[in-house]
Amino acid sequence: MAIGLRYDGSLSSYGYALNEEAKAVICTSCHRGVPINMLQTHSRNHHSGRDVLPSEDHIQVVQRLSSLGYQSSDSPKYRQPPGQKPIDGLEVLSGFRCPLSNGDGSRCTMAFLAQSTFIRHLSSHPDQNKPKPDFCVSDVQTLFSARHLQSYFSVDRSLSDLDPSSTSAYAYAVKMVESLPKAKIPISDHDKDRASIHWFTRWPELLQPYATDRRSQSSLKALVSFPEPGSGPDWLVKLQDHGRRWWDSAELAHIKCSYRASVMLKSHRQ
Amino acid sequence: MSHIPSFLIAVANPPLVRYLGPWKVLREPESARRYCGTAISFVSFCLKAFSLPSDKIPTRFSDRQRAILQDYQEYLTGDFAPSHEDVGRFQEVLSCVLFRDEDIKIHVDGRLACPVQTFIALLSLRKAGDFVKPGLVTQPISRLLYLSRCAVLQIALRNHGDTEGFTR
Repeated sequence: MAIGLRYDGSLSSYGYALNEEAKAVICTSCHRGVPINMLQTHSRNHHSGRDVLPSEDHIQVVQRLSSLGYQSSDSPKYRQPPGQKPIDGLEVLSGFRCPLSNGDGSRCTMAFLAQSTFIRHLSSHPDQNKPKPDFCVSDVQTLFSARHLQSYFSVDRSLSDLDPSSTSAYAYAVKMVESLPKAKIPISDHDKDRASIHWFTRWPELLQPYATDRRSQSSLKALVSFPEPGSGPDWLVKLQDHGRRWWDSAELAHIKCSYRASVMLKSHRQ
Repeated sequence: MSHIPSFLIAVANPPLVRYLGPWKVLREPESARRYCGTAISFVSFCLKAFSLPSDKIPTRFSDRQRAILQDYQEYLTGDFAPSHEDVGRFQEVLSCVLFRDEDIKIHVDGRLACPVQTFIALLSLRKAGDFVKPGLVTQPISRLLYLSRCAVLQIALRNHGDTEGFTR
């Protein structure tokens, strides 16, 4: 049974989730653990624009979570024995795991992100042959990434029983997407940059009530189509005549206008 | 110049005045047909839309626009022989729907308040209900921008008080 992230109602709106297994608060934006006493600081320093937990709420959250044993900056560095599954919600990095034994015969559990740090660590095992770093590559995680709090531990990605589609993170993402206002008028998948203009203008949303089916869409399209005289009322014939004569007069007006105004007009022609 | 269409502020910056070679009034027939066709389509759209029930069309006209559109529709449906007045009336309708007298919010009551933006949005709607590529949206915007400048120029030439800077 996978113990995934729990999206506590009061914290999830500020971008945090709870990992009950590791007793850690995890930022859902950067996938790093955050000490419970640094939730406000993390939001301010790393995610400008995100809502910050109000101070009075922050005090209550710290009290509640510390009583449950959640990790703070004063807690001992979090480590877990090697060969275990990754902690849900934390990013998995490529690092190194020490394969050597300690002086008492126990296995060294140290893991590192940087190769230089790993090689320096190997010197603490003076009486053993130094393995090549390439043979010690391992997936590693750290609960906190701040320098004075980070402590890498090795994890085995293959042991993860968190199928992406069954994780609470996935379920939460699906829930969030489903709760978003939908663009009922479909936007073509071929348009790579479709989002910006349609989000900005809100056309799909605002036209949706008037284009509920194909017939409504066709009638909307017919409103802006060029009025063919034979297919519409008689006044369209007059309208076209008026429009053409207006256009001719506008063209002739260009002859009269100054060169500067002409250039300004011409710059908009396609 | 007070005649600045509100939708243009959002979609286009003022053009750079630059030298583009000798001025030619006449352009290719196909291009002229498109620009002229956009003017006719836009006025046609407004005439059709304003006479529809308010729940059938996703836009809104001001009282002045409605009055001018109503007047022009009666003129079109009336038994009038072609006259020099036709061009002036078309110009009046085009100007009144391109430019508004008062500031408006683009989105009002969940619909597009600006007829120009509604026109562009509907032009961008494909038959299948999809939207055309955003790059293609610039074409009707560009034509409407040009038409709006033509309309301003016509107003300036008609009203001699405004011709400074426009005529030779």
